[in-house]
Amino acid sequence: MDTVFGIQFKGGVVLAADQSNARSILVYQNNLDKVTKLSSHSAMGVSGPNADMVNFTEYIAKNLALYELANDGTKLSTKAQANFCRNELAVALRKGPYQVNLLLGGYDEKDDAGSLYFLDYLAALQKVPYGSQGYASNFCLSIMDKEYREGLTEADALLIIEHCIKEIATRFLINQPNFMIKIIDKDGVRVHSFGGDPADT
Amino acid sequence: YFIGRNQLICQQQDCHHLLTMTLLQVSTLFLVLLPCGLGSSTGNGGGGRFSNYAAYHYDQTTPMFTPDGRLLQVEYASLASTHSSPLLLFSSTSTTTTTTTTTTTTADNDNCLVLIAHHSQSKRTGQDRLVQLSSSSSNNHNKNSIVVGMSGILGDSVALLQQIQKKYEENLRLYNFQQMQFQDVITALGDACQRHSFGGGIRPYGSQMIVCTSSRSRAPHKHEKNNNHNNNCSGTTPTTTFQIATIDPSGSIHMSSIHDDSTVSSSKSSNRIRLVGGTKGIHDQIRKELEQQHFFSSLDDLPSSLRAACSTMRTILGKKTQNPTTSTKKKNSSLVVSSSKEGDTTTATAAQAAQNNGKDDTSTNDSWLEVVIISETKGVYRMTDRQIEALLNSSPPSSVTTTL
Repeated sequence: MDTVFGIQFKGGVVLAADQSNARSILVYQNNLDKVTKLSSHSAMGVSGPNADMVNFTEYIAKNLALYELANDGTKLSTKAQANFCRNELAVALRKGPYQVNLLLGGYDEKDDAGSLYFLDYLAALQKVPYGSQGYASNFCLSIMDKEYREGLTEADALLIIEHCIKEIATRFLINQPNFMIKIIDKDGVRVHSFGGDPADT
Repeated sequence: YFIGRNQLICQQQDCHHLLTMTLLQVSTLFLVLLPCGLGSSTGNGGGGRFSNYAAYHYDQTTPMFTPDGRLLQVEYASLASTHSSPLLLFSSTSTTTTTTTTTTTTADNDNCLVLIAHHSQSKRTGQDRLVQLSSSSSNNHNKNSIVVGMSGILGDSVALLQQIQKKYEENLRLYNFQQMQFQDVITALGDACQRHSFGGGIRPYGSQMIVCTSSRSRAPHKHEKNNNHNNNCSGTTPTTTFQIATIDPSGSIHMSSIHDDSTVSSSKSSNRIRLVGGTKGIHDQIRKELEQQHFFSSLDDLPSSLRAACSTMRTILGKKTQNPTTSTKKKNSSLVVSSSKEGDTTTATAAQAAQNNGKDDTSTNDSWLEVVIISETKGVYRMTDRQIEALLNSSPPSSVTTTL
């Protein structure tokens, strides 16, 4: 029942995800951070069981860090990171699949542009200008189709995100009160806003 | 003992006398030969035909250090490349003059890195020593390409090439890298060589590899930000650097670079060439011959410098195979990179101009040359045998004689 969506704008990417941690009819917490920072200029919004979410994101993040250490500080591009994730999902698919659907966004200094990748639990990979995972895609994608255009600014992208959150709050059956929004641009990964502070225990 | 036995077959009255004499001879022989057989067993043998470590067998296995901290097998492997012909590497400039109107001409300087390898066989067979690494990217198949030069044991070099291929396939699978990365190539080679220098029953690679590529970057200038917070690199000057890495059998990677330094005086031009493989004596001979061919003064003119370099390599390294041949069957290399289809007029000017004045291939030298040119703008170009022969058979350009 997770909601993850993201939009690419000129010079970066915005990723948003709900902060509910629930199973069946029980909500464990409302301040979970589902958008995980992978490297200095990339992050991944993940939906799925909490165990796979944490396991997979940590595995990917640490492997990316290992690559930098082993290759004289060379950073992988967003495309390379997305392909690495896809490969790991594909390898695990026939062994012990990760039940995660994710959106990977990052900023590349070489192109001075952001890029967003859609990956699902079957190891499909697609570069997209905007995307959504989970039930919320039924509500968000039409809004993004209508409002997205090339060369969006950061403010425009955030406006679209707000529209999506408002639509989910209005029309989605599942109550998702809090959303974490993160922006990835040339300055790195930063938190734009959140409903519940993940640091609260 | 053996002599004594033979002598016992003789007449009996002399048997005793003869036996005594032969035993004396045997003992004398033993005493003479014994010191020669032991050699420098004390380890102090600075001269003579035995190495310092022969008696201790430190050079018989890779993972054993000598008392003074050397890995002899790895050092011996490094020496393997001295037994093959050296690879010559130098940078030069090719100038293309374009006349746009009757009064306007523009000159484009194209910086090039040239690699020349010499083969002593009379017939072109099998593996070239200069290999361009291919990538699956169709858009940029030639620019920023990587060229690998191999010296030493050719079989070991090819095995190392396969390590690069393995690394490339791994990167393609994991990260979707469509193009070979220079850093990955040299790291893969260094790691493979270093793994084999550990020992464990496998010997080190007996080859030295040189990896070259051109990289275009902008000189660091202050960045101006526009309203969209994009870095504007206006006012920067693109510079081309040819990255060169040499990997030896121990796994060490020696990085160097050749910049566009056309303002360097001729006295420092000797730093613009590299020689990989071959003995120091051969290197000295080549440098001396290059001086005589006025190579260093013509480094800024690609055709002239190329002709001088090819002529030098053929002269010095072809001396071993002076047997005249009636005919040498030459054919284009199967590994020729099809850069000519891009209209590669700049780098082919040297060869084609000579070819127009050239004559049929009547070389009496058994050997043949490989020439690969890495251009700043045009990518990689491999000269054909016919072009090389035409270049060698052409007369030196007049500009060189004027300089004289």
